[in-house]
Amino acid sequence: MKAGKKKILLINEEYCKECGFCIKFCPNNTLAKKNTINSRGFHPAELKGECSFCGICYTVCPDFAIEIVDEEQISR
Amino acid sequence: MSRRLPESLKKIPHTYCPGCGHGIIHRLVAESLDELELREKTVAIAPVGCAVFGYHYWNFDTAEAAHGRPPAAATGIKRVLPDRIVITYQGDGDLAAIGGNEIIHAANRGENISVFFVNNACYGMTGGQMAPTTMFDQVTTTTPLGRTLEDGYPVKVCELLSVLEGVSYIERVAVNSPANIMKAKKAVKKALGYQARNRGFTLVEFLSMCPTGWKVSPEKSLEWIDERMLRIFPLGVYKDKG
Repeated sequence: MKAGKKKILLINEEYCKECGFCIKFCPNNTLAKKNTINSRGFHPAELKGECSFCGICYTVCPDFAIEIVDEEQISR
Repeated sequence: MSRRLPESLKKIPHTYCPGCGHGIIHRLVAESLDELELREKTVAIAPVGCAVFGYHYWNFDTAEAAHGRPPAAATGIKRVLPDRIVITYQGDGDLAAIGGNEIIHAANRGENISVFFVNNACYGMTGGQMAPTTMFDQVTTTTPLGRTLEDGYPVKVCELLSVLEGVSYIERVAVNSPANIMKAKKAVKKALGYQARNRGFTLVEFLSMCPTGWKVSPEKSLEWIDERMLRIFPLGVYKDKG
């Protein structure tokens, strides 16, 4: 990982359908199901610890719910 | 590395079941088209089945065909607009059952189209009935005691089509692990690249999860592919003319 650019893991909670694929395949075990539910009644995934931004959760997510972006790309 | 959703996907949620493989395969097709810069000249044909809503989720031109007929519609579009990339996206009920005739003849004619064939071993949309690709002993709503020899053998589409002269590339992949998903994306890009170079008919078969049709949890559906489907449907390249 190149130093300098700060990454952010974005989880779109409304898109998540609680399949658990990202939690199963996360090599750092940093993803977990949230206690609250989204508008469709699913417990979305949430980041619990330090993320290495490997992108495996993005690769396995069937619901377009996860993205990894550079911090500077996000308009505030 | 940043991972942004491809431009070829619309920024809307889809209506597939939790754990369904269609979302992953939609994204792989979209990512590949973006990376090959083919999005603006692509026409996709949506099937009848769960993925009928493909045209809601893809951000490129799409058409809809009658059940099983996307290869015939794609043939027409490709012949009229030969500079376009024409893809069909079909399930196993669509391609292997009612569309068995169309796919065999499109492949045999060597039509320069790419077919993305999603095999989930059942009819997912209508509630998990037996499809031609259903395996022996698999319980579905129409084979409550499991499929028997009386219902015929599971149809192996890759093996069947690979003997036809018009076919240039056929590969079977799965989407049940990160490694398999990355291999699947390579296959998609290869098929699209072959079409861009006018190499003839290409097909990629995806073994895809259907937790609802199989009556298992999304997590178990990943193991279900490894334990049950791979024995009947081995992964690999079945034909590659280069």
